Amino acid sequence: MPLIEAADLQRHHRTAGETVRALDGVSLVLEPGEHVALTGPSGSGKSTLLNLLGGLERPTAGRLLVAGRDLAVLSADELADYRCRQVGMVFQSFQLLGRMTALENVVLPLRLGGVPAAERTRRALDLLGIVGLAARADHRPTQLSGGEQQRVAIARALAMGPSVLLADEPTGNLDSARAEEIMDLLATMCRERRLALVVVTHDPVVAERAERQLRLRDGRLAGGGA
Amino acid sequence: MTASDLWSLAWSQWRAATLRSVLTTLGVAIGVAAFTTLFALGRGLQDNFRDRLLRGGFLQAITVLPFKEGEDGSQKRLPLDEKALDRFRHLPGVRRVDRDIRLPVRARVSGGTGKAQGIAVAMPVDAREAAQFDERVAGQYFTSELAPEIIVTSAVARGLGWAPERAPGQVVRVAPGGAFIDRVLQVASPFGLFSGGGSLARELRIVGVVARERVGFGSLGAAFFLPYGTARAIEQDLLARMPGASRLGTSYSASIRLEDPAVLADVERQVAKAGYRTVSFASVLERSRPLFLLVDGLLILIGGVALLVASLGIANTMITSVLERTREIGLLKALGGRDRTVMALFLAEAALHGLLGGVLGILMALGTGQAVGVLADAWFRKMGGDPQRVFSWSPALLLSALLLAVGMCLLAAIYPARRAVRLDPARALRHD
Repeated sequence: MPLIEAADLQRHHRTAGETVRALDGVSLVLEPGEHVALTGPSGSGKSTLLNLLGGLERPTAGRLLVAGRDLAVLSADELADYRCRQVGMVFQSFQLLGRMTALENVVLPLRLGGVPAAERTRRALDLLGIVGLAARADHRPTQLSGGEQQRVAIARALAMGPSVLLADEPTGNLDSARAEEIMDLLATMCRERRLALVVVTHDPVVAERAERQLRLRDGRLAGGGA
Repeated sequence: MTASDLWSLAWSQWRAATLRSVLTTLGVAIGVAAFTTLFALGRGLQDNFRDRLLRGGFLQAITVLPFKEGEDGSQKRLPLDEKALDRFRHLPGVRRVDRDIRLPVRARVSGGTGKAQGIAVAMPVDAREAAQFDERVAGQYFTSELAPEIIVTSAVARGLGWAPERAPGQVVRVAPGGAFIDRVLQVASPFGLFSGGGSLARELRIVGVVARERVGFGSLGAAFFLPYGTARAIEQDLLARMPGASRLGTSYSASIRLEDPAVLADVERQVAKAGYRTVSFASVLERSRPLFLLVDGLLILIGGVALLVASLGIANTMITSVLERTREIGLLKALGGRDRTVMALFLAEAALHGLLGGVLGILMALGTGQAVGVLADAWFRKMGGDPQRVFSWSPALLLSALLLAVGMCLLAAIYPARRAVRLDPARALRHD
């Protein structure tokens, strides 16, 4: 069974009295462990598609099944639980909380997921070890380099054991060497854990690493997608 | 998310913006302190007033007047004799019933020039009445009901030629006397030879001196106090010299003294049912209750304004916090935070302000109370009075203040928290 199945997915916004079709009939299928790159010019709908897959937005029309569940019909709480347990998100600007240490940032989704205190600290320390930051668990984001911050964000995204990892320009704020490290880490994590990885990127080098590239233009997949 | 997680996140946010948090918490603390202090002041003044009345026996006493008021407004005099008093003595909760004896007397120092004149009031002699003499300047209370003893006010002591503290132990000659008594005795003298009340004089030893004429209900305006038995003996001597007057006695009223102020209303009702008019401080006080409530209300209103200002501060801080932390709220939602978790988080932050501000405010209030108490004590002493309790603190008041602080903060945070909940996570994450 495919992990993600989207059929004629649409997402429209009303802006200044006009309807903007951010996504206009996207269909795609994603298997567990598959690595996909989403490319396309700005405003083509990449981030909107990622938000729909991540349960941050609801489709205006069409069907979106993740692990057999239709996201469009989930209640607000069910959608929050979906974001907590099924999806890990990595952002271009890392989105770490500055007042918290690296460890506390990784613990945050585990708190939201109701994982007991001892278990979540153990799990977060394990993940920081895996991303190579065990020694920096007590550092705050401002004391870490960009690459290190993104590693913390990846550890946080993996904390609740999701089945899909969504990365929005994960290397956009990094130099090429750090970008390669981060992509290596993401690819390894997803391979080892059989996570589907969807990476939104403008960087052809990053896109090249994916098993499949999906190109969006004007809210549609070039070549029909799937 | 568990409650301890909420508190821990709220605390981490409190520390993240230390200056703002401290200022906001301080605002709550000042509001709570103002509210609590004013409330405790209102309570303290009332308790103080009530304590003084209780100590003075005012709240355990009923004065009975021998009048019955007809429906047409006419007054009918009823006998206030031993038979009537006996009826009152058998009412439940009544400790003792006495005719009020108030005699105009003259006192002078044997072989000296000092003299004084005024009303002498008969006092029952037992421990409770002794306890009411708490403003005694010197000496002690009467030793027995029939002791040849007298207590005078400081003004009288000075009139007799002694400093108040030197008066106890001195002996004075006390005789019934005053314009009316002198005239009656003169007329009654069979040979027209004026002997006056002087022939009825008794030598009494001053045992105590009181600062003011504030001893008990019915003794206002008194300059001398006599043991009840001694006063009665003087009264009998006087009546024996006034033919035809003995039936009347000198009493215009009687005092009912109670075991417990709680039975006052019942006893008063029973006495009134027997046809007598009653006067009690407690019933006057009861009728003044709306006034006390008004004072309470005004003080609470002033304190409430301070709390209201503090809660506006909380609302302002929380709204600013929501605006500043838009991305953080988006992230919390993206990581799986439910709406009620976001709501709870902001409410927990507000409750933390309330809790810290409440505790600090209570400490500030207690500190202010302590300081004002010390100053007030010094002032009262300087004015020649006893130290007074100005504030009345109770665990219930302090707990209520704390709950009120937390409640106000929660109330003020509802709107900001709802704003946080309504944020669209995808947009919030893009917020600059």
